[in-house]
Amino acid sequence: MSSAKQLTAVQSVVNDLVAELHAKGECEKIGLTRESFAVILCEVGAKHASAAKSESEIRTFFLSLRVDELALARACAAGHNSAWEVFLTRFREKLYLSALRIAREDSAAHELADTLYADLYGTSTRDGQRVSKLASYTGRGSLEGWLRTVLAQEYVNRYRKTKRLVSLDEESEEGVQYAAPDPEPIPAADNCLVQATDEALAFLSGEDRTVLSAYYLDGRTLAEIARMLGVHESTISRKLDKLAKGLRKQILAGLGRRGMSRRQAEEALEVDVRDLQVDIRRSLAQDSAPGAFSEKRVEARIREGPG
Amino acid sequence: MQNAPKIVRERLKAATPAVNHPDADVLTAFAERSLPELERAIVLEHLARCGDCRDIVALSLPATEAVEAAAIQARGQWFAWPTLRWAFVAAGVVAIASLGVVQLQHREVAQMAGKQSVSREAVAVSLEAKNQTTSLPMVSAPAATEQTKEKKSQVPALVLKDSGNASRQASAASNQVTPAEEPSLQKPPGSRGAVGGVVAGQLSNGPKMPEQWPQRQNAFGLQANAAPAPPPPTAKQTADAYASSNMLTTEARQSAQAPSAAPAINTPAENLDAHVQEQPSSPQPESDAVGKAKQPVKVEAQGAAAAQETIVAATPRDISAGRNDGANVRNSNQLNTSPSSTFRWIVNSDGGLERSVDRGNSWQGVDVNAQNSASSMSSKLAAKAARAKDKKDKSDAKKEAAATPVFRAVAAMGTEVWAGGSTGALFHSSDGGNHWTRVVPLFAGSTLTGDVVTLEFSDPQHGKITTSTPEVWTTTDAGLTWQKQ
Repeated sequence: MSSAKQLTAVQSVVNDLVAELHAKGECEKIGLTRESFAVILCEVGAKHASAAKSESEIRTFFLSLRVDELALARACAAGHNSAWEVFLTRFREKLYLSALRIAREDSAAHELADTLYADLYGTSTRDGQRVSKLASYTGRGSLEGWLRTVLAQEYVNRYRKTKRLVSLDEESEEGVQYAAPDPEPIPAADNCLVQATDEALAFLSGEDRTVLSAYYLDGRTLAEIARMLGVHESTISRKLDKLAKGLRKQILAGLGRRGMSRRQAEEALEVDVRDLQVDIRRSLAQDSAPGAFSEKRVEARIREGPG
Repeated sequence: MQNAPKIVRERLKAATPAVNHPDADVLTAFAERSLPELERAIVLEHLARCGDCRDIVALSLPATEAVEAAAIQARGQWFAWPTLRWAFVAAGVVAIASLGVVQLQHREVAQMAGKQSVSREAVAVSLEAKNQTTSLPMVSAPAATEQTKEKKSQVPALVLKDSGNASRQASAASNQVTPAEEPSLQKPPGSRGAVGGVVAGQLSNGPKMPEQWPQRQNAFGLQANAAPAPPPPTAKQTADAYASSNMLTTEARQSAQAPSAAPAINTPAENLDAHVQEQPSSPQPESDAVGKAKQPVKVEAQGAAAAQETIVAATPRDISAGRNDGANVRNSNQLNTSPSSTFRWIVNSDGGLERSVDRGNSWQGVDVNAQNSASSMSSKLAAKAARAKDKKDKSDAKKEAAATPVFRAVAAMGTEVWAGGSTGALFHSSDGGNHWTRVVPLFAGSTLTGDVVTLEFSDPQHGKITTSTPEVWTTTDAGLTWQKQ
């Protein structure tokens, strides 16, 4: 469906459903007229219903929206006091608790929540009009979940910024200026191994790679990954085990296709310089020669002498 | 769990960075699993390459999900086989134990039934022996009177006539003998105020009946002498569980046949029932009633007093005996009229008095005037007054409403209830609010005229009233006399 046709279809569906959705969203209570609500719905439909192929899919999309929370958010964005009263009553405490859970510290949580409140209220203006972050809420998820996501985004952005900034005092305390020079760079893995690994990873679904990334790159626990994907922890455990075995098998097969024998492929996969753990102390101890005389013999001679 | 090779981690890290991050709406919908499949796959593809978005999704999850996940995990652990097998073992042990308890109970019931039949046979045998000799001890036999002896002499004949069903006859004889002993059995010993008393004992402990008979014999020897002629045995009479009803039916018959002494026993019992209905808390004579105001007189109190006077000749066990008669009917009456600790009293915002009999779950308005008037009329007159009230004009109804006091304070101690209100209105009830009397405190020629603001009664005897004037009135004799401070 072309974009123009999509917009027409969206408009048509909105006209059919606006009365029903307007009543369902209790828009009158918060001062949102049917016409303004129809405009909001068209905007949301144009943004998110572009992938829909038919009017029935567009209708299903609109009916799945949380219109009551959408109306509340947009009324708040428009500056309706009654809507703000409702919003503050319902979400003020939850917002702070979510911020506390994310930031894990009271002062940081307060700062995070207050910053978000300012953005939600619309302290900034654009072309003379107040810009509220609530205007970007489209009702696809719950408003409470959306607020948590926005909080998390704000927190992640802040953490990224502060991570780049380095304190010189802290560095001197940690002895950074006395750090040893970087050792020689580790040689890159065999090109065949890299290609075979990329090939094996490409065959995996996005969910499988997300699980692998979350586990091996982010260091998340099985429970956390299970919560993210909405499955049981044991499911993630079995999936990771299956993926590890399957990847090994696929990589060995890929190395085999590149001319390696089975043994060579296993060695290439296992004997990775990064996997080597060389015990320097042991190797140095093995290299040194044993003493000519033992200490015990010398002592025995000394004792026998005077006797 | 097998770990993936390190090369895998390296290549995951080196993956092309993701662009076009999904907005908060889409991530929220993804976290809440409300995205369509196609869109979800796109988001997952992005998450596989974007650590920041993975962090955002992880951070945006609600805290409750952690608790639910833990609960799911705990539930899962509960249903794991190692735990389930012990649950099966425990269930088997419980089942075997419950079977054993049930069998033990059956055995006990069978033993009790056997004992009861043996006791009845023993009673029949003892009666036969008594008929043969006059000096038999009364320990295991019911109280003997000339009339009852005649009846007893009849019983063995009944027993002997049909020896084929000796056990049944013996039980029937014992039951038939029971009415003969009713003059004394009507007044089984029991604690005063006991609900059910001997009846309950009879119901639950059949073998106790012979033990109680000598007590009755000692206590009610006179009454036993004056016992009426034994009625003919009836087929209705059954085992111990219906002994009380049997007493009642034969009591009615005996009242027609009995000599003058019988009414002295029956009538007090009837009056006792009435008295019990009206003074269920304690069978005290009217003069001993605690905290009763004596100004307006209660007819029912007088009636109860009259009943009390006729019972004076009897021992206190008569009272409890009368109470125990008709246990089924009496119990319900007692339940209806006996004030309990579940009664609550309040004065509502309109100044009306309300009572709750179910610990505050529901409230009923109390009209002290209606009950006060009904207390001095029979039930028929009370019904007439109620009908007349319904037919009155609005002006009359207004007048009636005006006459109803506006209460300001209420104090209750068990059955003793005091309620005070506007223009010195003071009402007292000693039966939990079923009947009221108007109390007008007098002291040195002056009466209580101000609005009763507070009522304090530390016990039924000692009370204090504070009025709006302000005045303080005290009593030390449950409202009989008052002192103004």
